[in-house]
Amino acid sequence: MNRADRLPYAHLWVAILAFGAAAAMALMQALSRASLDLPYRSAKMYYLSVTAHGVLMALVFTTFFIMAFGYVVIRYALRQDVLGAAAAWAGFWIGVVGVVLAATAVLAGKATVLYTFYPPLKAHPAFYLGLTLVIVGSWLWAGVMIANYRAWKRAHAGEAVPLAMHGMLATVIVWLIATVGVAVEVLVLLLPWSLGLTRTVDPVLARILFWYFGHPLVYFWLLPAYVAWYTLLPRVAGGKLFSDSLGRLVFVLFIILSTPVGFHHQALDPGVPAGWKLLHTFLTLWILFPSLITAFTVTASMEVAGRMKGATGLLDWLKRLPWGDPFFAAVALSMILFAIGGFGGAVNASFGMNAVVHNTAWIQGHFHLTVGTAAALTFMGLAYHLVPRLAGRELELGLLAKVQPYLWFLGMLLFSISNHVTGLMGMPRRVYEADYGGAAAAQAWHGLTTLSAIGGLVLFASAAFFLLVMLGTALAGKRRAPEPLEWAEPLHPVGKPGLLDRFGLWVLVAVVLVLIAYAVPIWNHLRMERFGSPPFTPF
Amino acid sequence: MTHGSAPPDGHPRGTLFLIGLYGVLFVIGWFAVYILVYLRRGGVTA
Repeated sequence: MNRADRLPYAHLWVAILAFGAAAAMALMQALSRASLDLPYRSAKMYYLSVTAHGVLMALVFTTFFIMAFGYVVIRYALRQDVLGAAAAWAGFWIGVVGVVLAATAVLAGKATVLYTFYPPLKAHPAFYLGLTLVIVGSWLWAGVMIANYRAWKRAHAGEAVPLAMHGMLATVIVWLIATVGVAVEVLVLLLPWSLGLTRTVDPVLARILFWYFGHPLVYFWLLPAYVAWYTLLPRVAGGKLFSDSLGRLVFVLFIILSTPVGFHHQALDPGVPAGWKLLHTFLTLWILFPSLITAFTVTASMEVAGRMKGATGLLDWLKRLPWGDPFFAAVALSMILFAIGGFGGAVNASFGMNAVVHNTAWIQGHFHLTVGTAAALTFMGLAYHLVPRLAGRELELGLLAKVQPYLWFLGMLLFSISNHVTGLMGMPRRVYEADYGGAAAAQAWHGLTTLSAIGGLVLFASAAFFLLVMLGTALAGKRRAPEPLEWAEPLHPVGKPGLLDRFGLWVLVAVVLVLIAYAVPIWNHLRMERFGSPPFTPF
Repeated sequence: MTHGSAPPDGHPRGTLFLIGLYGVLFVIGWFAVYILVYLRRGGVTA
């Protein structure tokens, strides 16, 4: 392995191992929700595993994978060694220490607070400290990404930065703006409270700060997936990117619109005025547009590929795409399920209708289509694409790799659709006993929870296949010469840097929008008489 | 990755068809939840 590739490779493996641990937890939860009597099944174990699953999957797997992909983009799209490699390694080890601290607290049963860690649920200080370190590590990554972008700009005056770096820089900006919220929440509110330095905590303020972070977190997951969709997928499909400019527009729109939308997660929360919730609703609906543009541009790129291979009919180009390639299949299938997730997201974001689905199983059905498939399945596909190249080895267990994305697609369809339906029937999320001790109302959704459990089993099989392929490739793959990472060429040449490349301007617009959306409601909240809550630890 | 021929000119009509179809299903789905679930339960403004 090239020495410089060790940096992304190490990050990838932390991500893959976190994914494996989280997948094992998920199987237990899916079976438990179907009320199957398992050894050691208990409410305490259920909520512990939900916390571990959420933290490891949504915060550790994603963050480390995205950091890895950022370094890959520096190495192979900017074609330069990572400037600031020492800082990058420091960020890696700080993050790893953070993961160990947080995971230890969770697995010891001292931090059963779910991945949203809403107070007054209180965790051991090690949990909050661990999460803080993961974020500090990611800030070092962000600094390294920006430094490398600036170095590239100095060396390539008058050239537009490659689209892959444009998208990753948008990811960095979204992350830096978003993590301000969670940093304030953890450092000012939760950590001192957990350490006993303050007696009570303000749950409303903590939730506002969490969702200031929590929704752009979704785009932190999705934007690197979009980078892969725009810049790698068309190449693997054998075509060209339909429009480089539309890609740049999409990434800029996410910089602007990702953050001032958090109140749509708090549509039923007291303490946030309805007018501000409505403003966030409008801004949330706007953010559907960049995803719709992405659906058009990436699908059009696939059509270009199919037509370059001779397709002439309305849809026969679909048959000419490389559905047997694990990377292509993973990404294409993740896009199909994301389309369903987009529809569900529009329901979540509609202020009044949110009451129908709020805190129901619909929500877990929804985010397993977005982060659990659009991001996670894309990352698995990317791992098939990147790990052999970085390790200098052939992809092993190729048949498992080919089948795995389809299994994930099938399992997620069963799991997610059944959860959407039971959510509309009123089944709550995050409830250990889905049958409510045999209550009549719960009988209606019993068959669907079984379907969801079957989906969980299929997903677990898919996750196991992924891990086997990764381990097989890393440990037993045939050595081969390093293979370059090839990026998609745009259909039309990229011009000089334009308005969409002026990141400073878009950061300014984003900050102004954030201030409009959050400054007044937070200021009003701080001026009101507030009532703190003492800690609550159910187990 | 080898390319079979030159990239096509013209609009991506298959994509426009699929995106249009998705748009129609999206709107139908949203209104289905709005009318059949939300309004049927009374809505928050009823």
